[in-house]
Amino acid sequence: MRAMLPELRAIRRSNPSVLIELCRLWCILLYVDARLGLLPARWNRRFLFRRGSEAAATPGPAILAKLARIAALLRLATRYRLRSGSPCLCLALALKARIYPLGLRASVVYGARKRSDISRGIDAHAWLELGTAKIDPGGDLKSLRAFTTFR
Amino acid sequence: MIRIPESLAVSRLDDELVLLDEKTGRYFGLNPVGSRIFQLLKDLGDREEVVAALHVEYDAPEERLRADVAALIDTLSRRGLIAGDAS
Repeated sequence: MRAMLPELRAIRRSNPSVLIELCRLWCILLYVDARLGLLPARWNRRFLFRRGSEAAATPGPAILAKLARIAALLRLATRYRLRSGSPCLCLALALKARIYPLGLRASVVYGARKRSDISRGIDAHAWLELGTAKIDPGGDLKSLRAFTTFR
Repeated sequence: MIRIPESLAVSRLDDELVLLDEKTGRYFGLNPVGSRIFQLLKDLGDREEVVAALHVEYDAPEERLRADVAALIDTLSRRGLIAGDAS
């Protein structure tokens, strides 16, 4: 934690609005973690996981670039997350909650794929879909092609 | 009576099941036999009925099946993936 403080100081010096956005995202992560941990699943399904419109328009390049910036800051905010455990679902839900006030109604999508190595394990991941655009706040977009999705 | 928590999302991947615990964001994979046992637990909700159903499907001694079902139930309940009677 102490090692990361210079990073935050550098952000504060360069652009205070970025630090404000980072604080906002951290609060959203806290809210999502608290809801997932404390409230019954059916309440979270109704509000937190609420699906976006199937006919939602795919955002343009400017919006996608903005979403990528928010997602990058969200990944940074995750380092200060209070709860341990797999962050991809929490990241996807936090980004969905963050972009909701911007009028962007994304859907959370889960995917899984078998590993090709000898471990024969399963990789799983969660991301957002907005129209035909896939927004992955937690990782590499290209790898999502190999995932079988379930919603 | 064994039941599946409502926070669990289940999906099939070929002959295996992937379980997502929406509370923790953790994923679990079950191999084909584990997937079949999980499916039976979900449908029947009683371990003895599950053992009886497996005995019809698999050419294995009942005691061995009972031990395998008990082991899986123990693992699943420790991870919060099933609830209810796990005795």
